[in-house]
Amino acid sequence: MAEEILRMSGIYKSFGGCKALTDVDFACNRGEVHVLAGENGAGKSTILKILAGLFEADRGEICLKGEKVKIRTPRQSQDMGIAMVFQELTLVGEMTVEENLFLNMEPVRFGVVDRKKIRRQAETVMEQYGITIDLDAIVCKLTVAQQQMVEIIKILLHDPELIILDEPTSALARKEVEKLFQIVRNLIEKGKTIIFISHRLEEVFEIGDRVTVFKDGERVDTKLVSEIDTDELIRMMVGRSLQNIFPTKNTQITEEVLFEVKELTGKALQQVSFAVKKGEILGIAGLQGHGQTELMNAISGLYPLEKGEIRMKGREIKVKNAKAALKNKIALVPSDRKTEGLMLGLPVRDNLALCSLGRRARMGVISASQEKAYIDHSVKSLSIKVFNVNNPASSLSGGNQQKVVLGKELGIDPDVILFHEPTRGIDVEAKNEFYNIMKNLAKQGTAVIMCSSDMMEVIGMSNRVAVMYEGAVTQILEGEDITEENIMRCAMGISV
Amino acid sequence: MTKVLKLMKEEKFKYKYSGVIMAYLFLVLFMVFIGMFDDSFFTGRNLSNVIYTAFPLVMVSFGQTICLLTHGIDISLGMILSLSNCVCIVLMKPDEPLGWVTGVAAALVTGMVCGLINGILIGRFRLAALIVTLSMSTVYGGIALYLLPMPGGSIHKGFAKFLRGKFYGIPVVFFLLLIVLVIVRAVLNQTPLGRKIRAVGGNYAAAYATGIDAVRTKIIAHMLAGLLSAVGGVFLAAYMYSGDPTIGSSYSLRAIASSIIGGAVFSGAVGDVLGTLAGVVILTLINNMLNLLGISSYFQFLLQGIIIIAALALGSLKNVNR
Repeated sequence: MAEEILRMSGIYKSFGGCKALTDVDFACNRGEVHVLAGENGAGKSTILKILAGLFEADRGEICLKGEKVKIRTPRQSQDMGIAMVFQELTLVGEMTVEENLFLNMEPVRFGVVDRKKIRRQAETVMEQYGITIDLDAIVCKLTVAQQQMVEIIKILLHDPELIILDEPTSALARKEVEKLFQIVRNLIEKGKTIIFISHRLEEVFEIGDRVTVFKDGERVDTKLVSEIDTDELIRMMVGRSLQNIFPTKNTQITEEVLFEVKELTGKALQQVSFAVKKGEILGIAGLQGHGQTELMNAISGLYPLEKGEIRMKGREIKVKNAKAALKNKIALVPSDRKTEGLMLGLPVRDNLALCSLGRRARMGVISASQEKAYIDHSVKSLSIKVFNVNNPASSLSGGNQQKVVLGKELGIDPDVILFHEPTRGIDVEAKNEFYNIMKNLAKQGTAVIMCSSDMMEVIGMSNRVAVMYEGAVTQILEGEDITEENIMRCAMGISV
Repeated sequence: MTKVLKLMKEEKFKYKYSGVIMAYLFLVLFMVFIGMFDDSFFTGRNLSNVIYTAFPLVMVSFGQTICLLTHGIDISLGMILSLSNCVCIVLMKPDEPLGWVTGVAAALVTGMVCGLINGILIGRFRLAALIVTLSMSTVYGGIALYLLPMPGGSIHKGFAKFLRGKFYGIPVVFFLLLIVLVIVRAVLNQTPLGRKIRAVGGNYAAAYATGIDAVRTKIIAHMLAGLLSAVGGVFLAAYMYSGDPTIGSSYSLRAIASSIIGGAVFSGAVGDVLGTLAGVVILTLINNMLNLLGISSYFQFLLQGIIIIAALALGSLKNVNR
């Protein structure tokens, strides 16, 4: 029996009433690669951040090497031999690798930084684990993979026992992943323990010894990787009943194509093609970071494309920037309403009017009566609950804020409307209203594209679902084929 | 020589020193250009003059570069120079043998205290550096006017003689300048403090995550800048034999321009005082040239503004390319 290095039991954590983890037990053996898998928001990152001292658990206890410990700050966690490599990197781009590695722990000799000692220590660590990197390189000139290596060297300097890698492979190419795995193997050989979050199924089998699956803030199960196969793993990750908050899907879909993209290619996109027919809602699904955001932004002119064409009712259009997108009647309801959707400090009225100001202006002056009529109409048709349209947008609830964002975009009478995470952080009632609005838009002949990481929403709303994996649409699912299991398979790069 | 060439090809070297090298290239070309037009340029007298004129600006500009490295700025440095200049004169006892000590010490402490206040407001209270230092500069200028309403006062003769003196024909302040340059460069490039300053300027969140006390680092950076400006103020007191409460008003802007010409950037973390030195000399030489050519001072003001804007524009273009 392997020695247990870590045991977390009964971990409970909520963020402002929203449960992130419910009484989770999790244990990890010395010298193993333990993979955490599960949907976005299943609680994988949260439990590891508790371990790294970034969050504090509301309840539960942590035992490290059999001893009960309290972890409150990142520093305490570090001192106990736990190190975490974050998704967001913590390097200073303008400085060299060497300067970054020893930042704030520089050895000093006669008042100046002892560079010889730094180099010696860094080279020892690199040699030990088979990592090569130019210590004199400027960090911002390195590739993401190389920067990640720098992060790893940085934590290895502390000689940690337990190393947490939070989705280290999400930004890496296949070849770079292999390199990373080689280093992981070297670390295991040297007696380290690794906890690894992965969104790619094949990686679980390639590098993992054991896998723990999370779902909705609970631990589903922990299995030896050698004892399970892909199908079983996927079954563990899915399996929930559809909540009854979705309207019945529109069945009157004509063959007329309203909107079409062909072979959109960019830095994070690979030849994405799909078409939206009149009356339907097209869902875009996939695990985080597989190009969905870039796709939404590319269509609305916020992300540069290298190749590809966008067609509106058969006619090709050019979308060079956000202004061109609006002119071509492409509207985007962005994923983060607070930073991308609204001017929070401005009145609801000004927010609603923002996209379509020119339409109600004569000789450069906005007509007050036309604007009032427009605002009244928007508030009424979207049933925005607002006491006074002169109140700032920040005073509204999340759901109503989201409606304001939508109203603002509808001001241009869009032919295509993109919803990116349309119901993130809004309550069930507002969600239901929002879904009805989306359905009606589609029915009235607007091409509706909805990108969401909430799989239930994608299944409940979409007539067809395009699933993305590594920047490409792997498959477009239709009708009966739209199931959790199928989407999960496609999202992990396995065909149905 | 081959070693030098090899070094110059290295990416790190290019990244760190491309701005500095550009500044010096421009400086050399500029000096050749002036020398061709004017025989009196390369005379000892004129060169000494350049050093005397440049010295206070060098001090303020070094301070400005340090602030820029933290991704900050200090517009009050010119007024800190004025204030310490006046403090120096007011507390000076011209007739006692060591009468200069209190004045000089008080001036340097004044500079550091002003920097401390700026640093606390910017670092601890997280106010915008531009607005804080713009406002504080009127405070410091006001105090200077209160202490010394009109230019005047008198300086300790021995002290002035020392700072204006020459050593083997080379002005003493030239050596002083070299000493300050070596110290400031060593602090910025070779001590943990220097790395902290650049880390805070380059990526505040990362610096914080690494456990760097970012607030403290910013405060120290502004204190250093204040101290250096005070050195400039003390020198001016000795050089002009008197104090002047408004003498520093143009220094802040010129110090920013010098730093940017020398390769520093507004976005922090990049810059070297060696380049700043070249920036100061370039700015000083332009003025010097205009004087030698007998161009009216109105036109000089106008040209100076344009040059500063051009330097800033170049700096921002550099940023866009990156």
